Parts: sequence; structure tokens; C-alpha cells
Amino acid sequence: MTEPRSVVDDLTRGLTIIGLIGGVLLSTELLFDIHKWIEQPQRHGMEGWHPTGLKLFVLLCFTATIGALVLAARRVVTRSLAPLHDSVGQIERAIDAPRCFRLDLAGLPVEVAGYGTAINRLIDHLERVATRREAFAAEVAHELKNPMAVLLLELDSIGSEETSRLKLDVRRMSRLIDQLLVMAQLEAHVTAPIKSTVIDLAELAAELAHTMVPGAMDDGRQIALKLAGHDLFRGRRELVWAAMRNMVENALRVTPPRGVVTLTVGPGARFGVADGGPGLSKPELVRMSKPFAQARHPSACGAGLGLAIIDEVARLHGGSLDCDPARKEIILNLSPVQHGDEPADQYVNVG
Amino acid sequence: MRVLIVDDNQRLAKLVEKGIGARGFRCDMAGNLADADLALASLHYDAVILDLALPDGDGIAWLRSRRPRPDFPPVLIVTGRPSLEDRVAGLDAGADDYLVKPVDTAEIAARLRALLRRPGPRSHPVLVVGGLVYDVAARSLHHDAVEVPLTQKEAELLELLMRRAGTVVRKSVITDALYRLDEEVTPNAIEALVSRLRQKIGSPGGSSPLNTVRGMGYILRDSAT
Repeated sequence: MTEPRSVVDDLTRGLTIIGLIGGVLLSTELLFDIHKWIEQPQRHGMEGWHPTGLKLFVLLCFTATIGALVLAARRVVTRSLAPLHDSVGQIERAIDAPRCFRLDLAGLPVEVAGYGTAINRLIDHLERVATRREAFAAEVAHELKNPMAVLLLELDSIGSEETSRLKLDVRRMSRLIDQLLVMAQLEAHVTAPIKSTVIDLAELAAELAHTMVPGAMDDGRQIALKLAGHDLFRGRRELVWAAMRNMVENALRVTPPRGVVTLTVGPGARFGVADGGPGLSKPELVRMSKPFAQARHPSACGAGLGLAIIDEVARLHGGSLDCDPARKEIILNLSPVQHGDEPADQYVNVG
Repeated sequence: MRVLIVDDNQRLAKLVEKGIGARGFRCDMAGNLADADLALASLHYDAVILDLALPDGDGIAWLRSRRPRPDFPPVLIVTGRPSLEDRVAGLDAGADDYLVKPVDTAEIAARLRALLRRPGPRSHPVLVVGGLVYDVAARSLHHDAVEVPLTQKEAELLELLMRRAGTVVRKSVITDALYRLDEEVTPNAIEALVSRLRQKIGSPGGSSPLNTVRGMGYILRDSAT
């Protein structure tokens, strides 16, 4: 590793060199004894020069020398401060960087290195806070899940018509906790980015359908899966999974009994869920993508954070949440990756 | 059938015991992993219901180290962790199924029955799903106590679906299980076979427990909860 540079040393060195060169040039010009040139031009081989022209020539020589010195000084200052501009660029590019960012201290001048270290420590701190918050949210969720599990089982053992309604409420609360947990992960991701992996949307959709078909059938709804030519997709699997799950849960909720919820994977990195509900217009979708949006639409009832999560996950992956009111379909568009970019990691197929 | 419930929440464990006890399971409880080891060493269990966050360790690590034993019973994880990562880790560690709290006893009981139908050293010679009773050794099916004659392929398909009742069985799994590698199988062959089986096990006028999941496969519903 090279020695860290110092702005003061750079400036001193550069300006000293410029000062020396300037001094030498000006002394040389003086040595020529300019006054004598003007008064006796013929003795210095300058006959034929008009005295005013000679004066202007001398002035030009001085101006050119000073101008060159000023430009040289400016270059020295700019060069000395260049590492600072580089770091600003680094920080700005890091805002959307997928990996955890730290300022590269290697190229920084010594005067600013302390500042850089302080920024890196601040980032460390923010990451720790984010991770702690996420862990805290997970802990709270877990702590809440146990009393809810007890509540559900107690209601189970009473077993009357009223309790089945209450059981439904407990399940709704549980779903809301799951959503809050995902929200916490999304917020933590802003400061402590989650590592991305190459994932297969079709595999995720099949796994999702696999876990949700039995419950859906018990409630009299069907789930169908359509594969329409899909790409591998680079993303945060846990978050994409949460978004997809929320889409299917929403769809099942608005679909009447004996209705079908159709999951479509592809073309490209696209996941669509068509339901048997009343359909959703684009303005409604935008309005309901805000957390806890209250719409008079049946989809909003109990949707809680669902659409907000889907929207945020799409945005995070450079994609978008869209809808096709005619087909009653909600669409999650994600960014496809090049094949062979990175090998897809192991995925267990629970078939 | 004896089940070990490993959960540090006593109240929850007792409620599960009461709920599935009423559905024909005999339960013992262990509040931590050490007690679970002790119970498993001294008694024969048909299944384990495992919580993941336990006072003396993580359920997944425990399961991973115990699962390779040949006589280890099937495991149903029942936990508060809903993430895909945990689910995948649990199943990778050797769990047979994964449920997220809160969950009602009917669902736990249905999943336990599904576990006990799986093939294995303690595989049950008679499979029961709703009104269907299938004798694996004799390859005979009784539907609501009436014998239903089956062809060999129908019987193989039914056994496969019954062993995985309550979950989706993919078409590719059925093809692999029922046909030899060199056998030519058209997609219609499976559909026709399923359709014949569906007619045989459907109640007259009622709905059939054998359902098609479009784009995926078939599911035999275990409605006797």
C-alpha cells in the first residue's frame, strides 16, 4: 500500500515548484535589462521596433508568465483535492449499491482520512441499529405469536360458531404481524442491505402454491399455476417470497367460494396473480399501495400492509407493481438477470 | 399413536395435547431439548412436534444432529417463525413438515396423520384418508366399508396420493413413481388414470376427495378432521 497523501504537502510542494519556476523566469527577464531595450533597441538587435510595441511585448511576456503560473497553481490545488471529489462520487454511487458500503480510505489524503474513518464508523453504527431493529421486530413477532397460538387453541377447545369468527380474527392479527416483520426487513435493508441471490420465480411460485393449496381448498377456492417462459431473477428471495405470498393471500381473500386464483410466472421476470374478485383499477392500486390505506374496495378490507409490501419489494428490485383490471390481475414486474451471471444457489424442493 | 410435544410454553403444549388427544393421539411433553432426548431414549414415539426456540438450544441444530438415526420418528415443526429461510432450513435439517403458529389442532392432527402415512420403517400397513381405507399389502381399497376393485396402476396411484394426502403431488412425481424409465407416458395417460380413480372413490352425487391443481398436479384431500 502507498503512503497516504497529504493535501498540505502536495500544495506546498506544487506551489514551491511554481514559485521557483516563476522566480527564475522573472529574474531572467529582468537580467535582459528591459529598460535598455526600450531606450536603445538598435544596440540589442531590436532595431525597427516601435517603442510602444516594445513596451507591449514586455507587458505580454510578464502577463504570459504570471498567467502560466496561476494556471499551474490551480492545477496543483485541483490535483491535491481530487481524492475528496472521488470519495463524494463513491458515497453518491453507494446510495443504491446492493452491497454493504464502506468508504475506501486507501486513496484519501491524511487530512481527510479521519473524516473518512468517522463516516465508515457512522455506517457501521447505522447497520448495527438496522440489524438490531430487525432482530427486535423478529423477537416481538415471536413473542406475540405464542400468546396468539395459545388463544387460537383455547378457542379451538371451546369450539362454537362464535369461536370460528374469533379464530379468523386471530389469524388476521397473525398475518399483520408477519407483514410488520417483512416491513421491518424492508426498512433494515435500506441501511444494511440484504445479500441478493439468483432465484427461480417458477420454483418460488410452485413452492408457494404447494403451501397454500390445501388451505385454499378447505375454504373452497382453487389455485392454478401457469408457466409462460420465465427468466432467472436476481433478488432477495425472502422479500420476493413475502411479496408473492401477500399477492396470493390478497387474491384468495377477494375470490368468492368455488373461484380460481391463477398464478402466472413469466414471460421474463414477471409474476401475475389473477383473482375472482371485482378487479382493481390503476388509481386504486396506487392509493392502496400506501401502508394501511383505507379504500372502499373489498381488497382493502384486511389487506393491511400487503400491497405496500409488494410495491416496496418491486421498487427495491428495480421493478414495479402493476395491474390489469380487465384480467383482474395484479402483476409484480422484476428485473431479469443475465444467465450465467452467478450460479443459482441451492434451493430445496419440497415436492 | 404416541406423539412427543417439544415446546417450552407449557400452556401451549397442554392445549395441543388436549386438542390432538381428542383426535386419538397419546401425547408426552418435553419443555427442552434435554428432556426430549431423554423421552426419545426411553420410549417409542410415532412422531415429534417440535418448536424451534427452546431454552437449551435451537431446534433446527438439534434435529440435524438427531435425524440421521434410523429409528428417529418423523418430525413436524410448529413454530412462530414464518420466513421462507426458516422453513427451508427446517426441512433441510430433516423435518417432515413445517407449520407456522398460530395453528389449530385440526391442522396439526391432519399433518400428523399425513406424516404417519409416509413410507418408512414404521410405515402403516393400512392407510386411512376420510372414508377411504387402503390395505397396502393386500392392495385392497374399502370406501365407506364397501370394497372397490382397482387395477394395478390405480392402486399404485391411490397409495401415492394417500401417503401424501393433504399436499399437492406433482404430475412428474406420479409419472416417475408409476412408470418405468423406458415406458412411453403421454400426459393424457395420467389424466385418464386419475379420472378413472376419481370416479371410483367419489361419493355418489357428492364431490370427490381427489382434486386437480391446474399446472401442478393432484391432491387427495383429507377432510376427516
